[in-house]
Amino acid sequence: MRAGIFKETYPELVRLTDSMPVKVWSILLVLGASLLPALVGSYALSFGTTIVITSIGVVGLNLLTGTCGLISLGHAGFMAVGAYGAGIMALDYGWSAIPAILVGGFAASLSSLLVGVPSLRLKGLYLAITTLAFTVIVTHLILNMPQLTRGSAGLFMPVADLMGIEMKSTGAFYLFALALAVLAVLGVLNLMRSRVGRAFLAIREQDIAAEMMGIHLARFKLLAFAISAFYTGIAGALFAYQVRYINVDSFGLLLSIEALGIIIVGGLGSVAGAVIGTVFMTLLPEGIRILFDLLGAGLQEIFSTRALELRGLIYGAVIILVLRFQPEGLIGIWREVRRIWTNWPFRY
Amino acid sequence: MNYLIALIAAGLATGAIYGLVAIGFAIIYKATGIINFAQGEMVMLNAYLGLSIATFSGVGFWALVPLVILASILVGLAVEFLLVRPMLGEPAISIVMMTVGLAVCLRSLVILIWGAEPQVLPVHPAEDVVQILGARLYSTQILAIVCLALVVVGFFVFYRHTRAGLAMRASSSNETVALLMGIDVRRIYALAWGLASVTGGLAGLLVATIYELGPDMFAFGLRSFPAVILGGLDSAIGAAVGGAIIGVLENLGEGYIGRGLKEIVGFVVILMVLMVRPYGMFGTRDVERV
Amino acid sequence: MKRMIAVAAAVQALMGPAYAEAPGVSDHEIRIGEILPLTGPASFAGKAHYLGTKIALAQANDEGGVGGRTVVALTEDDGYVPARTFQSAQKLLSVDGIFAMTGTSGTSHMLAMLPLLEEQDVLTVVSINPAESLYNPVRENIFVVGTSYGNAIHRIMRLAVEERGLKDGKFAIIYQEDDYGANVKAGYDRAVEEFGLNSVAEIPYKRGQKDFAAEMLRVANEGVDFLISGGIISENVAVFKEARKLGLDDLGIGTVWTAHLPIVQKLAGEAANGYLTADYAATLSEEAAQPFMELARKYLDESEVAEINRYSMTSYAGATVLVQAMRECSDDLTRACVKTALESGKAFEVGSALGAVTFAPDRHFSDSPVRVLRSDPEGAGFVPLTNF
Repeated sequence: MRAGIFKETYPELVRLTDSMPVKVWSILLVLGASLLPALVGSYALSFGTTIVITSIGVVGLNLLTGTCGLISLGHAGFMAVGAYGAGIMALDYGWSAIPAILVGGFAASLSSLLVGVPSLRLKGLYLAITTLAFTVIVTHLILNMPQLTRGSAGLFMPVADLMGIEMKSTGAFYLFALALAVLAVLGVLNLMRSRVGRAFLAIREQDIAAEMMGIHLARFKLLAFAISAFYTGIAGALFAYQVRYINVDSFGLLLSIEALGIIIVGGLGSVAGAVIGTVFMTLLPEGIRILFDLLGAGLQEIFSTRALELRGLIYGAVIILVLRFQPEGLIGIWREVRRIWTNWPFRY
Repeated sequence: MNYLIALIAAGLATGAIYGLVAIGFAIIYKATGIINFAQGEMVMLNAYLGLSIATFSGVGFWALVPLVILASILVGLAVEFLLVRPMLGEPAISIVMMTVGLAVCLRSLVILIWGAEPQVLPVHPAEDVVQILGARLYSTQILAIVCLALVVVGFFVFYRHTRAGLAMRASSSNETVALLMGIDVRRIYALAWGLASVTGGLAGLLVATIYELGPDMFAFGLRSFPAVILGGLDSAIGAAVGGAIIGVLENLGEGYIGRGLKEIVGFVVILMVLMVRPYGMFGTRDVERV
Repeated sequence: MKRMIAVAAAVQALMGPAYAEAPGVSDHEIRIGEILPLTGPASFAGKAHYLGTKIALAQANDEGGVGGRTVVALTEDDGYVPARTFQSAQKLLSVDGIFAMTGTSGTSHMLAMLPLLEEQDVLTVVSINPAESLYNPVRENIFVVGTSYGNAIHRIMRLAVEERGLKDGKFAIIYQEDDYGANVKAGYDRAVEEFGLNSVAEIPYKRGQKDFAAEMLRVANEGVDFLISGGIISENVAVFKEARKLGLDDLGIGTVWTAHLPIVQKLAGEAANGYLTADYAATLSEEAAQPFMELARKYLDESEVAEINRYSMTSYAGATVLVQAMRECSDDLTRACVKTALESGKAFEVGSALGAVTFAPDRHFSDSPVRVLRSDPEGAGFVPLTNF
């Protein structure tokens, strides 16, 4: 048991972790996740892929909303830009998956500057609504630029390919997405311990004070938008490769709201929380479904015609309950458990 | 010329509904500093309650209006008491996200109770076609415009000349001082939610008579955002004016330019407004001290 | 093409035993899958489709099923969201295992799962949503029962030209900005070109729009004689109401068969008088549909019978065709065999509510004939103006 923590230098203070168990468990977790295709069927694996892809986007949103304090309802729009960016490169120019996905990410990044600029003057809920406007406008543009986006007909994506080899099996694609997700998480964790990450935190706490301390507000707010949108754009591009067909319906406003719900449930501002939240909220509907299956045939009948409504009801209720009783989110429960575990039998 | 007048008249009728919904946003924002993302869903819920009341009681349309207002007040108070009050003191984003959760719940709840198919309200005010300045409108559309005007006058009087209205303005301008002056801020919050729900209920009833009842009615909440931003988040009267302007602009955009511009015109306008006046036309400028 | 299929069939026959256990087929059961919008804005079609399949399978199983096997439908709800359609398809294909699909949700929803269905060669009979992109070009394993929205619109415009004498009239269209609307618009464009018509306004709108005042003012302003209203339910109702409000009594309005549902007349009230719609299925109340209604009353309970509409008839047709084709192959129940049976050119009888259905190797589309109906809410409901 650790009695206290003493740091002698700054590099030591900002290290990702100095605890051997954390390193070992993280590696085991990634290894475990990469064994998933060998263990489960392709339906269960599709949830795995969805979780991995959603994590990337949600980690990006969390950076903007949780860390930098800028509320965004525009992430469905960034996701759409990313998906279409990658889709157009792959289809019309025959680019392979990795460069196409990167193009998706950068396109989303660029488009984020459109919302980022007003954000310099706007705060809080005004900003949230501006970003919402962004999603509406992106949808409109996609529909009205058929020569580029094929309009309402949507895009059929080719199978993702890695260095000329097609990732036909869902397992291969899952591993590919997992690798990107691990990179994304490491990227954000590293960013958080740099000057940029600390600047974001300062902006969240009080942006005028942050400016006084020498943080260039315009630059860092735009940077937060750009990085966040980059992640979400990559998630969008991966989503396009996963589902293989995208159109504007795939990027409704509900998506942005669900993403915010995920980071709230997971724990605002925490990368691990974002990932835990994604796992929980993605599996929740399926969990409810399995529960109903267990409860017997009578309920199944109700469930087959009322399934989505019941799921929606429970989904909303979970958001409300977490906010009400566990404002720090699921990651808060984890911290609490860990604290009790370390200190037991003492309270603190 | 007739074409222009007709477009504007029809736009005002739609804008009146945006205005009523938007006033609901503004009242809650002014009193509590949060945006109620479930406003559109409350519009829908109150309208469906109206459907059930009309079906069970068999009253006529005009008797239904006060009953719906009553039901709306109860809905607003229930939301405030059960969900908002326990969360007082939490950061604003938590309460906002709570309303998002509520919105998701209500959408499902309405379909679970009343079904997914569109329905008609069993009672209707007389639906005649009325001609004004060459523009043809349904009398129910005129009713919407009149209703918005009455609500605006009502709020003007309420905020200026009633004790509760003054207390509400006081607590929105400085909560702590208001508390010290003996204003029960929690009751002000409850009042705000009740009133917002009423304007939502009226809007819902109008949507149900002019269009129909459907589980996609909540979209009026979303489409009224531009109105409240344009008017200024904390100004009820601004929201009403904003609603009317957005309604007219939508129609003009569609009537003269087309290409589905109607859907985005409001959002383009708020992007431009926010660049110039981030606090809207009638909103108060936020002065911040570190 | 034909030869290739013959070779493929021969190869399949040689490999016989390996293919005997087709997915979703056991000694006593055949599973078919359906993904439908049981909830959400299109639930009017999804629920009715579900009931139609239920009737068809109950009847088929009463008659001994397929070679002694019972046919079971596994229904998934996608809530009319393409991503969910895709996920449901994955579940049906990899967890449950299905032999064929008969429920395919909306157009973009079907397109979302199309790559999966094509890769895994799942025999699919589309009846809820016969979109042109599903049969043109021909797709190996997809069969479409019905006709396209475009054909319905084309038929109505032909009537406007030939019987209402609007050859030199002004035409306009209001269409939804998605795949569904694109199908409607394709029919409109085809008719405009074929008959050399004057199209004065083509107005798109976004799904979920409630108010059509500006759109209809444009139509009135242009002096349009005949309008194609490409909405689904509420949008058409709004268009009818606006037309009544603006006093456009002489304006002819044509719609696809979504307006052939009684709910549209109920919602539109007085404004429902006189609009035209085109459909390849019979009206529930007319003589031809009575045998179907009897079946419905036999196999469904009362509340379910109340939810039946034209989509029940089309899904009944789709499922019946599939069952009949499977019966042809009851000794060798493989997808290849059933596919060959479907393509054989045989006329499958699907009850009197819909004409007989035939396919060919180069035509996976039944191209069912349409007729035009006029809405008459006060009287008979819908009055046929032409024959099928």
